[in-house]
Amino acid sequence: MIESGRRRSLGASIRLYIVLGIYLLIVTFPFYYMALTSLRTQKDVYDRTAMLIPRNLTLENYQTVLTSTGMRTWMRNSVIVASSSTLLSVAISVFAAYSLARLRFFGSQTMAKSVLFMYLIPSSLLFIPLFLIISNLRLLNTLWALIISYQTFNVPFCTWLLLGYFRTLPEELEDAARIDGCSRLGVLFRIVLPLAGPGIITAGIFGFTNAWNEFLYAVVMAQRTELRTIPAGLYSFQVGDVLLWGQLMAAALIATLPVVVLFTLVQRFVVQGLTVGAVKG
Amino acid sequence: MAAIAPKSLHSSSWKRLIFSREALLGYVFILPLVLIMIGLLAYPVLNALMISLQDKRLGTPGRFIWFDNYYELLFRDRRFWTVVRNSFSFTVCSIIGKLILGIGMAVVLNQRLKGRNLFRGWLLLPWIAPTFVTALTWRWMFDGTSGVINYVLTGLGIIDLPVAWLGSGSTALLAVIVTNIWRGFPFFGVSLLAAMQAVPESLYEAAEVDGATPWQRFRHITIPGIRTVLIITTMLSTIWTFNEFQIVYIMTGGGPAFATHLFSTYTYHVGLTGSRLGYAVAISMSLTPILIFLILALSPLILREEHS
Repeated sequence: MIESGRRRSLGASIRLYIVLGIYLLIVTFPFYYMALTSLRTQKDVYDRTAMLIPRNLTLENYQTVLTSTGMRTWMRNSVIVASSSTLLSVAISVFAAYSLARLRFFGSQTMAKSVLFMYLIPSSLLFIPLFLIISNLRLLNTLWALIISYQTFNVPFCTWLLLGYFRTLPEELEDAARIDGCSRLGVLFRIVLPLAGPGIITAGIFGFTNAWNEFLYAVVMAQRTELRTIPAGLYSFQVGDVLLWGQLMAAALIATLPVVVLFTLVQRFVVQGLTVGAVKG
Repeated sequence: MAAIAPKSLHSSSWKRLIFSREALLGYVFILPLVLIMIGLLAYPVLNALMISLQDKRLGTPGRFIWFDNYYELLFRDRRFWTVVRNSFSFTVCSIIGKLILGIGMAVVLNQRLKGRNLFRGWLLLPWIAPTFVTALTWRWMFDGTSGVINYVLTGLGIIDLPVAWLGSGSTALLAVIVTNIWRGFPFFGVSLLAAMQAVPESLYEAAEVDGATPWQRFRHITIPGIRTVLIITTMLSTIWTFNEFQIVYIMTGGGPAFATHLFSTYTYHVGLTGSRLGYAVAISMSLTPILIFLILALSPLILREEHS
C-alpha cells in the first residue's frame, strides 16, 4: 500500500498509474471542456459531431467579452476589492497574531480561541444582518460594502494562519534583540516581520483568493452593474434567455487564471497551512 | 507566611497581565481585531437573533412577534422540511463522496511517484478554481440538450436517451452533489496526504516483517495515524457544505420545484427575492444548533493538533 522505501511489483505499478490517470482525467476534463467551449463560435458550441475534438477554434469570445460586455469593469472592481480588502485584513492580522503569539496579557488565550470560532461562522448566517448594517451605514452599492464585509472571513482566517506561523518562529532572536536594548516595536519591525515574510505572503494570497472568489456578499451588496465583481457580473450574464456559453466560459477562464497563478507560487505553503486554515469552500 | 507568598505573587502576576507595558502593547495591537469581532461578527449574529423574532420586511421596521417565525417554519412551512431534507442529503452524500475520493487521492499520491508534487498541485485545481466558475462549467456540462455529459454517456451506451439532468428533482440534486464532490475532494486529498506523510515509515516496516497485508497495514497503521486530521477535515467540510450557496444558486437556483434548495439558498430566496427578512433569518438561525455542536466539537481537536 504505502510508501517510498519498498519495492512495488509491476502489477501494482500499473494499477497505481491507472488510478492516477483516472484522477487526472476527472480533474482535467471540466477545464478542458471549459477551454474548448470558450474557443468556439456560438454555433459550434452546440455542434454534436465534434463535441470533444478541438476544431475551428477562434478567440472571438475573448474579444467580445473584453470589449462589449461589463467584464473589464468587473475585473477592475474585483482587483480593487480583493487587493484592498486583503491589504486591510493582513495589516490587522499581523498585529493581532503577533500580539496573540508573543505578548502576555489578560484574555489572550480566550482571544486566540475565538479567532477560530469566528472563522467558522458561515456567511449564510451573516449576510442578512450584514446587509442591514451596510445599508444603515449608507454604503450599499459601493465597493466599500464588499471591502468591509470581506473582513468577516479574511481577518479571522489570516490571523489564525499567521498565529500558527509566528509560533513556529524561534523566539531566541527576539530575546537577543530585546537584551541588546531593542524595543518591542523595534523587534516587530526589524526582526519578526522580515522573518515572517513567507507567512505573510501566504496569508495575503489566500486572502486575495477568498475575496476574489466570493459570491454571496457580492450578489447581495453590489447590485448595480458597474459595481459588480467578476462572480456577480458573470451571474448576471446568465440571467438572459439565451446563454452564450462560449462567452461565459471565456470569462470564467479569465477569472480562474489569476488565482491559479498565485497558487502555483505558494503551493509549498498551501499544504502546510491546510488543516489550520483552509480557503472556505 | 508560606500561604501568603504564592497568593501575592499570583496577584502581582495578574496585575502584570493587565497593566504591564507588554500587556498594553498587546491590547493596542489586538484592538482592530476586537473591533471587527464585535462590529462585524458578534453584533450581526445578535442582530440576526433579534431580527428572527420580528416580522421585518425589506425597507420596513419590524414588529416584535416572539417565536412566530419559528412556529411557522416548523409547523406550517412544508418547503422548509423539503429544504432540511435536501440539505441533509446534499451534505451527507457530498461528504461521503469527498471522503472516498479524497482518501483514494491521498493513498495514490503517498506512493513513490515521479513528479508527485506536480500531480498534487494539478489535482488541487478544482479546489483552487473559483466555485462560481465550477458551478457554471458543470451547469453547462449537465445541459439537457447540448451537454457533454449526455453526449459521453449516450456515446458509451450507459444511457439510451439524453437526460434533462437539471430539469427533474432527483437528477438535479445528484448533479449539484457531483459538482460539489468534484470541487471539494482535493481538500480532503491534500490534508490526508499531509497526515499520511507524517506516519513513521518504521511502523510499516515492522508490520511488513510481521506479514501484514496491505489492507491490514492501511487499516491498522494508516487510519489510526491520520485519524485526527480525518475528523477535522470531515467536520470542517461538513460546516462548509451545510452552508453551500453558490453551486446550487448558479446551477439550479434551488429548482426544479424546490428540489435542490438548501438552507442558504432558501434563506436568500425568502429574504431577498421575497423580502421577508425576519422569516429568512429564522431559517438560517434554525441551522445554528447543528453548527454550534460542530464548532464546539471541532475547536478542541484543531487546537490540540496545533500544539502537537
